[in-house]
Amino acid sequence: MRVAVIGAGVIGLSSALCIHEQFHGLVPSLELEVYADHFTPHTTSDGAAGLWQPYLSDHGNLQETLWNKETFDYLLGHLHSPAAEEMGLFLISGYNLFTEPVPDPSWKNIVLGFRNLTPKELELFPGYSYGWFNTALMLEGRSYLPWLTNRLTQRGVKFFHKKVESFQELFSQGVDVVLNCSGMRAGDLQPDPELQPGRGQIIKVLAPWVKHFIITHDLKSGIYKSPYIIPGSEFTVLGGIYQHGNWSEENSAKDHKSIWDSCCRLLPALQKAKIVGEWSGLRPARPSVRLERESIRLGNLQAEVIHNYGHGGFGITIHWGCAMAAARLFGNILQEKKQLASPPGPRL
Amino acid sequence: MASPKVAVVGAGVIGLSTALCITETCPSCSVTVLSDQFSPNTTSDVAAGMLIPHTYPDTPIHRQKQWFKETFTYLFAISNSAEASEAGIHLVSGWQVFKSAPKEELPFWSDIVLGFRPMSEAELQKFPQHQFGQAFTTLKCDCPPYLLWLEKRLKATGTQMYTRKVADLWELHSEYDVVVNCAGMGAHQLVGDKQLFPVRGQVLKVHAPWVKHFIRDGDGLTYIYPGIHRVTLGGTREKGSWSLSPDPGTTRDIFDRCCSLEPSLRGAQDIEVKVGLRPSRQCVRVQREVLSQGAVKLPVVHNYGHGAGGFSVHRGTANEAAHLVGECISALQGSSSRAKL
Repeated sequence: MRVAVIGAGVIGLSSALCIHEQFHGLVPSLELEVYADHFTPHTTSDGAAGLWQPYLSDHGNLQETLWNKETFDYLLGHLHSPAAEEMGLFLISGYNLFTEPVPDPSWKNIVLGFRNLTPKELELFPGYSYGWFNTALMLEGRSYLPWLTNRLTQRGVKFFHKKVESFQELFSQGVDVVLNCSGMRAGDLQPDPELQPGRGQIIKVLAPWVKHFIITHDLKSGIYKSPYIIPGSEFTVLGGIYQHGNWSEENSAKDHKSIWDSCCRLLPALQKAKIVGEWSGLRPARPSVRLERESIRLGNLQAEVIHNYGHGGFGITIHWGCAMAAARLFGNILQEKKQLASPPGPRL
Repeated sequence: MASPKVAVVGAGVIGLSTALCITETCPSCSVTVLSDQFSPNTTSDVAAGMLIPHTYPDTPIHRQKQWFKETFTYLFAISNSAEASEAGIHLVSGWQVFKSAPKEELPFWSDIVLGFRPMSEAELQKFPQHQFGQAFTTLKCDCPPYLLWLEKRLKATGTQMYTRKVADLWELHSEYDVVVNCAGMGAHQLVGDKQLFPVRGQVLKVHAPWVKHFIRDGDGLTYIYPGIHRVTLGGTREKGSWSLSPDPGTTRDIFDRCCSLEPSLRGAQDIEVKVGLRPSRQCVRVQREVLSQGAVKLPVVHNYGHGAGGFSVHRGTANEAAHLVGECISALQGSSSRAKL
């Protein structure tokens, strides 16, 4: 049973690990391969700050809220393990700021210690009259992806540095199941007009005195269009750009100025911070995550694709819940092919 | 008296902040700081600088609260300004956890720090050996940056600073009109205060930049305080010990205790060990005194004995001491005009 995962960002690697952990013992013939044109540190996941926080509203998408919760609980369970530092996992607290009262988010009971801000705390943020404080998690891609890669390598998973041009290409090589975790490039494999880039740009600075995340919200503009500051283990990320439909991965001077000015207004001490980098990336945005099976007829064969893409700006936040859902779909495929109950049969 | 000459003995957080307050309340004063040690070699440099007050048994609570409030307000404003990183002042959130319910549910300072509340059950899961906890956000003064920033502010006012070991306050009577004693532990010898005793503290300063929260055991012995570049792990409270030498057994013990509160510290790098003697007293001595030999008088203002709570109340006591200096100067000016009659 050959399974090919397309994509080596947080979604591809975690789905691969989840499937291998659950099924390698049950399916002795299971061979897992990861194909990608970009590996860490050049994936979209590497550029993300790594803060676990869903969008403000789940738009009634309870499934995604559940996947977010599963991810948070899974990560929280790993917090005290010796692997935590290697994974880039740690607790972080901080502020969400608004210019008007807003309803509590779907994730208020998932995070720790969620509460409204007191008037004295709001004095820190002139211009904002309402806000939340909570403790959440950081999972830094630059550490988590190598950690996932190591776990997969230990398990005998093979990696191939190539751009897959079509699902057909893999099936004709004898792959039985494809996991499509191609993120922003999913449209190259199968057109999907609902998948659009949500371009972001960030400035990396040295500001080690900042111990909290600070995320501002402008309800009229939309998510991530208002300044945010997220302190990591090595540097602090300044951001506040979300441009729907913009495919450019070049840093823009105009966006740089917008991020810098707005973040320095939010935290005046940042004016003294040293800039150590800048990055632009494309959030693979979709009205909802595409996580579903697709059976493709190829001659007299039935090939299976599990799609797992379109996680927008919350990939790290939702990744493990989605990986487990993808693993469940894989389990269904195995059932149907009677691979689970019976010994390895002749290959299709 | 055109330009009263004031000497401040001591250049730790108390000496420097008191000197600064004097320049603010008495702009005509000429202030000089004299100390045998300056940053990074003061007791203050060893301290983590967390604004979590120590309770002095013999100082009225309302006075301690006033000192803390003034200090918190002062530092809060700096933390919110462009100078925050230079001054080493930053906000930090975290938890104080207890193995058994604390005597007082609400410490006197709970409404001064930010967002004080009991920890939820979910939060307490992180501390399996502890049954009860408090979550809040407070301020931290990193040293040396804070002391260097105070020195810079002082220099800007024209304050001179000299390395000099003062053996006896009286030796200053011919050069200065008022002497302010902020000698900390040095006051034991300098003024022979037998009520002042050291409480030895050993700490580790480690590189663990993923630690973003403070964690403190309510017993005060084990704590993790993340600073700008290093995390302070503590500690000990050895009453009566004068030893400034780090003890290796204590180092291992502190490290183990902190790792049991925060397991990820096992990966901490670059462990530096430091020792400081908390200049402890049943109450902080903020008081006027007049030394005299024959007809010669020397007004003295004492501001020492802050023990474990120096940073938490420094600005409040500095304000009070500066006010007392003002009283000394008025008294001198009064008596000098009387002398002219």
